[in-house]
Amino acid sequence: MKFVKLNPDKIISRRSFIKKSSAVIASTAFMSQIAYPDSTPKKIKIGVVGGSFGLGFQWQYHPDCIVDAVSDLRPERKARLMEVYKCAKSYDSLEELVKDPAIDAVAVFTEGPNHAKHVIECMKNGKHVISAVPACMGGGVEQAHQLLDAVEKFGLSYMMAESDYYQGYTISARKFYAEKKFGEIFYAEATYQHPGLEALYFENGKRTWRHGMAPMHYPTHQAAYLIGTTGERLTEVSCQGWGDGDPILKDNVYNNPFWNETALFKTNRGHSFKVNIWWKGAHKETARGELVGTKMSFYGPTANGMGPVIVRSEGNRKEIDDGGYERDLPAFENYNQPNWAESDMLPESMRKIVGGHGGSSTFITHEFIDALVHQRTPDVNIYEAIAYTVPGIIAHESALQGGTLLKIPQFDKVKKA
Amino acid sequence: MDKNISRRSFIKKSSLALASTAFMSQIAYPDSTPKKIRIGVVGGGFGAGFQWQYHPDCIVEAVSDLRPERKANLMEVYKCAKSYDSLEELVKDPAIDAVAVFTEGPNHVKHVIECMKNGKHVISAVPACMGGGIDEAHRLFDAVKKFGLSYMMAESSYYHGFTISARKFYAEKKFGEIYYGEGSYHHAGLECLYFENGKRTWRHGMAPMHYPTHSTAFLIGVTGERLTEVSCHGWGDDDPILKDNVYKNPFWNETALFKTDRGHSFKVDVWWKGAHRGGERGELVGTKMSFYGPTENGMGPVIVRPDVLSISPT
Repeated sequence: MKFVKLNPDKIISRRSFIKKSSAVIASTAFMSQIAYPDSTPKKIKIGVVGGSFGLGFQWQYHPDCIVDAVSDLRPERKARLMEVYKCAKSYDSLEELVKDPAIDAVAVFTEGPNHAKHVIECMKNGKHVISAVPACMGGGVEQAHQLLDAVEKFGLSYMMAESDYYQGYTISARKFYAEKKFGEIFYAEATYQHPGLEALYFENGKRTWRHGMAPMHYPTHQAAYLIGTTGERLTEVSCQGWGDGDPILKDNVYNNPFWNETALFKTNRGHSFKVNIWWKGAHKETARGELVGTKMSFYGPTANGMGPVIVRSEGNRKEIDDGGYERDLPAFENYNQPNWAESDMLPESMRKIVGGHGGSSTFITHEFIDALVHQRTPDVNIYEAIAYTVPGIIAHESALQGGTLLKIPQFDKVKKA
Repeated sequence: MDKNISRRSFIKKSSLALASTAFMSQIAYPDSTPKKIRIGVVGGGFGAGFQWQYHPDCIVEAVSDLRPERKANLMEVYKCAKSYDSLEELVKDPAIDAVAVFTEGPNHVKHVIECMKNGKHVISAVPACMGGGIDEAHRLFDAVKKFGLSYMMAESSYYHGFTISARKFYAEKKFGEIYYGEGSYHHAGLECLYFENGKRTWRHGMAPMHYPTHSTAFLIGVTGERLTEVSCHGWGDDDPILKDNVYKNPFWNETALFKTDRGHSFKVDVWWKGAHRGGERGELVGTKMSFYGPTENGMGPVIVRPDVLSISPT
């Protein structure tokens, strides 16, 4: 079947796509975790835009994907895209590329503040889209509405390329969760420490789009640890910011005075989720999650050298603490992290490739293409993408207000339980 | 010696100490001391766990517990022949300089005030006050100010190896600015202390955040800063204990994000249920150095210092 394009005789197939998408949402939240089926109906022709982060995917190795064209505003980056993806066709801009009728889908790896604009431009031209994180940035909650409205209006596939959704830790956590190993996860935390991020704030002496950006406006790497495991939604937040009066914090287009932000979110299931996004301080770079349950807890590896750990309640097993008090003695286990990228979760041709960003890029490549080929909704679809992104916008607002508790708007069609 | 004069001079010295250095006890212990302190120990549960009898400047003068078997245990542990049947009787003994109050949490304030009314210095188990809200804290504070006697809260986390090391690092200005701290007190299975011989104890159903001192010590005990705002979440299940307790507390676990008077963030867990191993743990994150307490999951303490802190734009 020829896939969805924006012309009248394809509207039926688009409707059937939407229908299937809804059914998938209703039946199972994380369909891509099933093993990869061998036979596929068609190949997706993709256009890749953005020759920086956009270089780090494996479109050329996916059995169901053909890189049809590439684009970047800068000639040297465009040339690099052509080389990496062995693609002879190129355009000077995203706006030109999306006019190409041969292209089914576009990979948007442009500047954060342009994501929503570029996604909408692609969809106006009938293209499915995968976008870099965050789903929207710099335009507040209003921009999230614009993005969602466009995706719903055009009925095309949207996926956010969230790398932490495909960390070994998060993949394992989803499997444990599906097996109901945790009991109730009453607390979670996620940390994104990236000291020295300001190295990316300037290029040839000029400010880049990252210059001065608010930490919580880049929340998706953290949100993925909880939302990507349980599917719950963040409904309230109190957030605190810390800055030191650095010139970057006094003069940036985002009016952001903070290097670091720390938030305590509440979820729609009454759970707590602590998120740190820190760009300054004495800490090693890390993206890390921790899920604490009533029956099992799963601690991601720490930046300081401890590997992943599982802790399980052990019924009535007790120990005496050094104050003489009795307490539960749970079971401990160093978790030997499987390399899921070598498993049948990926097509055979992609299992030998070591993907970037914690091994996530091959999964992201596969999920977007596979969801299109099988006409299903990708895991990190528009609703998930907004649920990962918007809480950070509100968290930053809370920090600017000195930590005021704020409600987070919800975008789901069906109220999440 | 006139007791009033010595008390006044004590107040003066205390004020001076407060003004000059916040953590005077960190100086090395001086060899010569003016006198031995005669202490009365009350509470044969947790109160049996100290070492008054081995301190060169302390004599255990008397002990007390409402229960005969606990009183006997105190006499044996502290090799003390004198005993009383209650705190109220013990505090009348003029030979006693100071009282160690290791009674039930909700009685700490009442007992501390009773001791001070009778001219005794006091060390009290944690928390300083419990169950009577902020009013009770005011009553305790007013009493300590009024009587001008020494008051100390016996906070164990203040003397963890981690916290002592952290105070030394802090005094040496190693951290830069500590913009974030964590203090955790995890004690899964605490409910085994909620009943004794089938009867409810004072711990039955107590609110986790009403027992915060083991966690707060990790930041306040290092930097001396104050917690000024908080947002806190509670979690509970359908357990009968949470539906019927004198504290009207529906939570097993509470998780809070505090803000300090210096604009820093402090995350505190007090958890009594879940798949986690018991322990008290601190973490202090600074601009120049961070200090991570040992985790209950098996990693020892870690220090992190960036080799190069700033990267200049090209």
